[in-house]
Amino acid sequence: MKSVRKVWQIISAAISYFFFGLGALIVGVFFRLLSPIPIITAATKQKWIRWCIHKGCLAFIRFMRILGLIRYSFDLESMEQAKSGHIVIANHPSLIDVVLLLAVNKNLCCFVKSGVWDSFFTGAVARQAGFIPNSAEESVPMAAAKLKAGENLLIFPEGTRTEAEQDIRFKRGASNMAVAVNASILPVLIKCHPGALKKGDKWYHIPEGGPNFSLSSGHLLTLDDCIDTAKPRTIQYRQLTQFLEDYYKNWIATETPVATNKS
Amino acid sequence: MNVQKENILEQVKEVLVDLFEMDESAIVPEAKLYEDLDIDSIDAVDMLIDLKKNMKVDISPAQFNQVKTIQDVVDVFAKMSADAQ
Repeated sequence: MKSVRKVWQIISAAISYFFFGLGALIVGVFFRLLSPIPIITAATKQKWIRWCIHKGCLAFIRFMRILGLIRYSFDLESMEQAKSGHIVIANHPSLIDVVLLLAVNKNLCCFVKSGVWDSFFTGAVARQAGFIPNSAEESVPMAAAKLKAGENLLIFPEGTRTEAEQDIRFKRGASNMAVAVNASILPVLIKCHPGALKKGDKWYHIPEGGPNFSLSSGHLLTLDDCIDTAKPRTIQYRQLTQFLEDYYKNWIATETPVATNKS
Repeated sequence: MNVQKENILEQVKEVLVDLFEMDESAIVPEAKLYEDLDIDSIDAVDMLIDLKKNMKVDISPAQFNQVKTIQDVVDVFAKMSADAQ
């Protein structure tokens, strides 16, 4: 019986990922066809695409839930109430973290890695959605411009999926951005129990009953809440990174988002 | 290293300690900026600005592009100061 269930899980996971790819392809093609129509501005297209992405991700996680592949719960009041022009950060335990975040947030600008930016399926969608490639020289100025314009950026400070939950390591990318633009930071915690779709896991390895994803958000942090903004920028990047890392380590350990005293 | 380069090295050390709260003993000529001293490309921009200000020498980011070690930094500034004189 167990092996039948395993096979069903693999099949349903494959179906889900297939529809995800298909959805991305359809959206990409549809909006590419729309490109030559002059009346439709890039801004309008961007709004539509982001709406499609949001609805698509929501449909995807609901679909996976119906198939019994995952469960999820959200506690994101502070995120819903936060004003615009801030940076959303999250830890990165699994493959579908971005999908979950886009499902809960209607208008989020993402950093996409070159694999996604250049891919045939997701590349056109990412570009027209006004997302930002994370490896281009213009990435920081582009991101700064978007934040100033009032968009919310999503950054995973770890830069990649978590290897060991006990040893979260943040890189300086998110801090570089926050300090450069003096942007506030909205921290989100993604818990995934039992661990699934981690770095190194196969996409079809899904635990019995499906992992339970819970997303919760902490209070919006201004830079002054976290660090001494009178110090040189280079020091601010490092202190902010350390502050956020400690914040998350604490959050994971105690299940409460608490800003400890700044150093 | 000649006297001029020694002076430049001292100034580089001062800037690095100021900008990164770095341990001075780690700032040796062979130290690689990225691998040993954790100075990434964004840090390098701020570092160049401060170094230029301190040494009153103008260097374009393009000229600074090939710099990989502390010795490289010293060499570039030594050359530009010499050219300026």
